[in-house]
Amino acid sequence: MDNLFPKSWKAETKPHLFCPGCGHALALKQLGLAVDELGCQKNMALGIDIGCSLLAWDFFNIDTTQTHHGRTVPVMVGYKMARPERLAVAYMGEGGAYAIGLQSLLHAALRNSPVMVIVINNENYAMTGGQMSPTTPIGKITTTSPNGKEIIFGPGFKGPEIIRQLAAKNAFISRGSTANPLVLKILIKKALENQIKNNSFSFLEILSFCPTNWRTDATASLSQLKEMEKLYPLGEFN
Amino acid sequence: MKTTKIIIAGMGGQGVQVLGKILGQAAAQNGLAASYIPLFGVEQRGAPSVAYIIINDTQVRYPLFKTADWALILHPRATDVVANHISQKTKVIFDSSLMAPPMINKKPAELLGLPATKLANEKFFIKAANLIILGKIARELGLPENLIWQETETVMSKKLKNEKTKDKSRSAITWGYKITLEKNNFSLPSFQPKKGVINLKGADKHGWLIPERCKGCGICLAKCPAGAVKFSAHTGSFATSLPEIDLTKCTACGNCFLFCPDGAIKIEKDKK
Repeated sequence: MDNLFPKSWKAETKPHLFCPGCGHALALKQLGLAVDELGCQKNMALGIDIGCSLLAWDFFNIDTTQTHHGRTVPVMVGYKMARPERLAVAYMGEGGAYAIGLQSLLHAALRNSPVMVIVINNENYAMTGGQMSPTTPIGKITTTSPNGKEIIFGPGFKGPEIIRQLAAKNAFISRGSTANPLVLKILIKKALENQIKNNSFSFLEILSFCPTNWRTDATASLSQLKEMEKLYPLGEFN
Repeated sequence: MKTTKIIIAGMGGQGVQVLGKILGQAAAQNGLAASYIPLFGVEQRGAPSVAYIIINDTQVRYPLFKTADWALILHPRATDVVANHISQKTKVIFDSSLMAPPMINKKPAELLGLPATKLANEKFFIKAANLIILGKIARELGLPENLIWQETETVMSKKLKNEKTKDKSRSAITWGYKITLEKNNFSLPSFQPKKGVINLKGADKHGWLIPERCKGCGICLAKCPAGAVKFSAHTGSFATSLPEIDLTKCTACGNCFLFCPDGAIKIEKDKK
């Protein structure tokens, strides 16, 4: 029954380790479909971070490596330097990308290193129990902000907008959402093709949901995702 | 100085840790020394979850142990985790409505069945299965029923706000307290998850549903524009309800396939 999910997924490890209704799996599904369509499964490497993203360690039939927290981008930059003919994809959460690993990410963008970075933004540190993260909007209740996030912790961090300021012109910067998987797949394909054709940096933030820590059911998660899309505008940033 | 060691194992989400916490606190309130240690993986849901509990008259020196006096197995996939902690002295209670008698190399002292999930589904609500088991083990340990309920109320205060749920939970514990365990004639595992591929045919459509992958998140229900998907009475391997598809209402739009995070569902129109 392999027609139920992408060919690049590893069938033996399914059901996977993500929670019921996790947005990570939805994003990885579209990544799998994009890889299938481009036919680059045997010609790429996937780097994963600490956090919920590490549960993808045996997700694909793709060479996968796991790194220290926030250091996925430099590891994949190094990989790309050693094997320039192969595709390098770094897959991480917003805690790894925008908090502990921000300098690595910014400098990779500054150097226009030819790697692709996928950041899953679900507005909290999900694996440790839903703590407040850089992208948590003001007023949202999490386990470390029981009265709603206060302004002293800063408003929601807008990654793609900031990276656009310092990235090269031919870098591909965009933001997609798991609410629209078809558009998401197009964005992933464009980002991968950008690495092949232009040999430049590509960055994709994916808005996602976390039913376990948001304490929502499927309908409520999807409507909260719609609220997120108002705060974080979707599309390509040129 | 009498020491009782209890190990509870189940899948994440079944209420193993809640059970352990209530039991430990109740023992402490009853004037005994108690320790409770949770053990689970990095996943928040759907992986084996184990609770170690030690109850002693005077003090607990070390909270972990090798052989347990009581082993409670709530899910077939958690059997392997407990197997190492079972010896000839261990009494094993398992959920006989979810699983066949567990195959354990060392023969335990007693193998006792308790169809908790079936009872909870028939009499209370499906999530009350752990409370029935809690009532039973509390009686075996000699903890008073009122104390158990008092601790349940403190631990689960957020979930017991609804009066109806509260009454049902109370009677689930009472029921568990009174129930006799099955010794040899175990009830059939009627809640055993479906396996393989469920093929659906009809109205010029073909559907596939894989119960081993479905986690019951409900995204297919929320995303179906025709309202053709709803939860059924059958459970998948994660002890959650499987979706049920009304193929006459279905328009084969493909939304359920597109949005399923687990790759468990797909409906296509028949090729002509």
